[in-house]
Amino acid sequence: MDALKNLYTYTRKYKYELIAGIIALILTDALGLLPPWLIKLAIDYIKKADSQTHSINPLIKYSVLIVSAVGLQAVFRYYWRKHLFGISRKVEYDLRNDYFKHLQRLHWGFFQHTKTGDIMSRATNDLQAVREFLGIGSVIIVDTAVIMTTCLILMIFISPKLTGISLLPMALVSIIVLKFSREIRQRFESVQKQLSEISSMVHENIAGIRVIQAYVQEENELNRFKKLNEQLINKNLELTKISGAFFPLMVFTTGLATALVLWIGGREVIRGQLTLGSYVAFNGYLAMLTWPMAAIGFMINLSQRGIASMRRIEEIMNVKQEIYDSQQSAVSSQQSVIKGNIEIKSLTFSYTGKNNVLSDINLNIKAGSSLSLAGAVGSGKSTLVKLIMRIYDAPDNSIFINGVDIKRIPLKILRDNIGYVEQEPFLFSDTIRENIVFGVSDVTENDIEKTVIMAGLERDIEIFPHGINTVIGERGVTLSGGQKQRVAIARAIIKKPKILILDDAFSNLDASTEGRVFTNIMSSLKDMSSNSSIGDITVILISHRISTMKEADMIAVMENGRIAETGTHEELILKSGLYNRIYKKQVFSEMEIVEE
Amino acid sequence: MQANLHEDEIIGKAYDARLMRRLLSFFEPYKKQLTISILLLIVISILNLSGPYLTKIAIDNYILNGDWSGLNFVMAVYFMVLLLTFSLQYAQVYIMQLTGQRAMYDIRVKLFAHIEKMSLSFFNNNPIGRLVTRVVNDIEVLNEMFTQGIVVAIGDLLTLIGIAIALLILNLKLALLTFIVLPPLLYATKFYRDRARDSYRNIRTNLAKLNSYLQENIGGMSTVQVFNREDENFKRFDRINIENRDEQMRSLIYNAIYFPSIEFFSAIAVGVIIWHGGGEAIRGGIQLGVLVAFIQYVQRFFQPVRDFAEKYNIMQASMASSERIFKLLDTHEEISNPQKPVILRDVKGDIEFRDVWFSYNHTSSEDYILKGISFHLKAGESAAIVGATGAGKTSIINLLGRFYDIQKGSILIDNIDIRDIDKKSLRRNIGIVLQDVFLFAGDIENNIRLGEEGISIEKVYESAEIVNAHRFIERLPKGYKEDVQERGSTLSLGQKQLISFARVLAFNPKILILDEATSSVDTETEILIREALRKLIKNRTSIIIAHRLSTIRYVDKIIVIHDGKIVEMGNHEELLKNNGMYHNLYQLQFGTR
Repeated sequence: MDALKNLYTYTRKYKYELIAGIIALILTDALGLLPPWLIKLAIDYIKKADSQTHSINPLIKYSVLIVSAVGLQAVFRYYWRKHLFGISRKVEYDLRNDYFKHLQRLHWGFFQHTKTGDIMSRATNDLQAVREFLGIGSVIIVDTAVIMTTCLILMIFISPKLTGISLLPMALVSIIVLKFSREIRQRFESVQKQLSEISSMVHENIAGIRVIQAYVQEENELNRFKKLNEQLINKNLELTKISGAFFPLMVFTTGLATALVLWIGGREVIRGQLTLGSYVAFNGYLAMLTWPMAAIGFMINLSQRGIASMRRIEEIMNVKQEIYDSQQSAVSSQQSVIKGNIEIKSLTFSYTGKNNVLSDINLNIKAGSSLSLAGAVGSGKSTLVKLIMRIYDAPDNSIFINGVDIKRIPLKILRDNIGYVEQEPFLFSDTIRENIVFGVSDVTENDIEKTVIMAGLERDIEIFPHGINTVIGERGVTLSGGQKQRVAIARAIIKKPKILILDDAFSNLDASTEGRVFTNIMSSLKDMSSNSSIGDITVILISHRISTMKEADMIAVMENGRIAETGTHEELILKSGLYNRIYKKQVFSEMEIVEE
Repeated sequence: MQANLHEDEIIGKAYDARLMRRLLSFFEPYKKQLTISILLLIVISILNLSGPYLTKIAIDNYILNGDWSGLNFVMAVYFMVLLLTFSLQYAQVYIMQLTGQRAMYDIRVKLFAHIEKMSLSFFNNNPIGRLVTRVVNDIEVLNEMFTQGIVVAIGDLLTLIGIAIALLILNLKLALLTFIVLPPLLYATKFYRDRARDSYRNIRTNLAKLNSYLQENIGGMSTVQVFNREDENFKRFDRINIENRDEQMRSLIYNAIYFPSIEFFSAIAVGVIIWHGGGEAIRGGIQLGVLVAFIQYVQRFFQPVRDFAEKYNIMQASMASSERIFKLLDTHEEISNPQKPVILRDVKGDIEFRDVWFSYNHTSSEDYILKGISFHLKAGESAAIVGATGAGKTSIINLLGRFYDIQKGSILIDNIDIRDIDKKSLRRNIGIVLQDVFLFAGDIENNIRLGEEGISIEKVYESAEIVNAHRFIERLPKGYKEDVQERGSTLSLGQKQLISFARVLAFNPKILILDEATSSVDTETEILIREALRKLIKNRTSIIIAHRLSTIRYVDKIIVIHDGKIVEMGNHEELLKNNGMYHNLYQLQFGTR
């Protein structure tokens, strides 16, 4: 019941609106009881009356009363609709914001292990179920309670016997709704699943259209597509078998109740036990009862779904924030903390607690120097740099920046001072300009221009339709892997970070572009540090190309999570270690053609 | 889906005769079912209206006269009517759904087959998301229109007409008086419909914006965090969220005004009936049962009107969807099969480019990418194409398999112009390995043989073995049956390349075109790839867009392209001696190392 309690806290904010809405709803329902009664009075009057002795004045009174009752009812109805449904929208808004904010606090590992679609569906489908439960659910509870009791009382007052008879089919309505809507939902979901399977097949086919056409697979794919669609037809028909019966069955059952009332009630009228007007009024109340009876069934499903969905949302909301500022944050002034001297002391790390990804790493990177990390895929290079930025958390007292354990540096300050470029950078579907200034709040045009040149983007930007204001993504241009990497490089260096981490950031550039961009960056970094107050910039670089690696002041070669050797390019070539082997392979047989 | 939002949100008329005619043509094969369905609908509407009429008969003829057996008879009829309505309604829904599903199936398959025929330039201009929306969502909208929109609307219309007729027959004068509420009712409905439509459109746009922003942030969360952008992004999210909430509130208020107002009009009608009809009844001008039936009919009159306002959205959306679907179906296939296609048999693999001029832009002749390229490869020969980015190297791949057509000159295989060859037969004989390997969701085995049943599992193993892929595949937990995630995200770049080599080998084409990947992989894998490549070009006419010196060393011919023209051609030693551009490229390379 935690889910309900939680929902209650969200609703409490709108307490007064809720109470006002409920009162309006009760008044709406109460006023709704009047017209059938007035019609009853009118008909009984007409039946008794004869044209000589009776005026039509009472009829005028009844008409006016009916119209004003419904008029007043309309006002209250407007009021409760606006407020009760409105609250559910407001809670939805609050929940969605909280959800988003919470996601922002979660660490990278969570997003690695949780599918985007799963996180999304909680924010869409589940949130919708919660909203429906809150909005429609609250209305149903009040509505059902009020209408059921009052209608039943009035019906029993008119005729206990008729009430008993007509309630039988009405109870059936509740059961039909309950059973059917559950089954319908399940079958509907299976149709949706089939549709999404078709979607992903179409998506994949178009993305891989060159392969399909080149290997002449059109026929085979079309047959696969047909099969999926035949399954869709079957699933749809399965759904129709149930959903198609649902509404007609409801009509049938309520019709049955009306017919029974007409039959039994008719006999009573003939016997004189019931006036004709009472019969008509009874019919009116019976009709009013249909919706609440159906609603009981809906309500059970709605609440089950709403609570289950709230629970699913909470599952995410309860995921703990793993990376946060420590209690004893060190100095707050960033200038004094971060200069770029990185020290790693006997660092051992594993993601799961079992297999160590890094073991006993010791490194000292002086402020303003550059370090190259070499080694095969999976040797632990990327993990190491992720720990420096606290994308994952290293054990206490293993990584220090300027002598301070990074866990004691406020996260904001730490990350503000690090520029990070990944191998497959994530760009947002915004303009190139917006992507470049992503991490900075105030930059001059001049800064942007310089950065673009540093990253080697100027010529690419020239050919884009709107230059630097071209939107990236489906509507704008699609960037090549190399262009994406260069935008990401620009995004990192415009921050003027003290530490720059290039994690295989050039892998999609050809050798000559890589060389050009890298030399550009290194030399402008030197310029920047010599004629500004930032101080020296430390660079950590991961690359597969010897030509780039050798530019670093120091190279650390990693193997199976350990540092196998360290030294400068010249020193390492002379040793007959891992670096030497990589070097030989690349220079003598893997030389790439310079493309310009 | 968000990206093509603007175009997809353009919603125009709710009914367009031209589009409707074309849509109906898809129902041609199901004419019988459609007719039955509509006939059933008419019967159902009449049956639905008989309830109040039977009540009237029961009251006037039997209850007021105390006729027991008459009442029993009417009740039996009433019960039969209910039962009949139920079964006919069920039958009608099922038949309609069946017909709709079949017709949608036909449209969808036609659309998919059409898209698969399109040439590459089409795919460059049409983002994937948009095409997926056409094939899936737009057709679902049509289905919704047929099964819920049109049919229900027809049913509602019939009910409305039926009620009006019933009222007029029961009592002409009272009916006409009751109709007084119609003009304001229609006006209110139109007023509501227009606002609800705008609101509905805005809500759809907002929701798409909201969800795509959320999705993007989930995907790039680590980037957001590393760049300390949490607060700014939250602010942006909140802005969209507020917009969404406010629009939802607006639409809520439209509903909160419209629905109660309908009830109000209905109450006015009832008031009129009691006032005037009651007076008449006292004077004996109207039977009491008629009065009761009148009230019941009038109360039923307003439901269909309400429905109409709601169905309007579905109709509009479906007209827009069908417009987009037809537009796509009407896009011509740019590269079509020749009139009398030559089917290739026993291809030797002789390739000749004769003064080939090519531009991606057919309207202007100035943007030529290739300017008079001529070369000849004898069967079994291999050539490497080198040159700077943008020199036109990759275009050559696209031309040989006729993914684009050239403007001038000709390309010949075994002395036959490729434009005379059956497209499929041509492509079957050419194996293409692209720079970016595309893997399909499925297992590794399926990614090697694709959908081709003719390739045996032994052939798959053998091909993988030859290109050095067998070893790493065997080491995967499920071997060849290992699942490949979408786009092969679980495999490394190098592994993906080896799989694509195995794929082309399994298809064993006479001609091979290979675009070497530029991206760097670790050295061990690099060596495996190089060995595999060497085996691949053996006994095949091969054209390789080369980025590696190792590749250039063992091909028969090197073609140096600059600015769309061939500047040099020959083998490695010859070209070095030439002292030309190749020599410069080569020197530059060694100089920097």
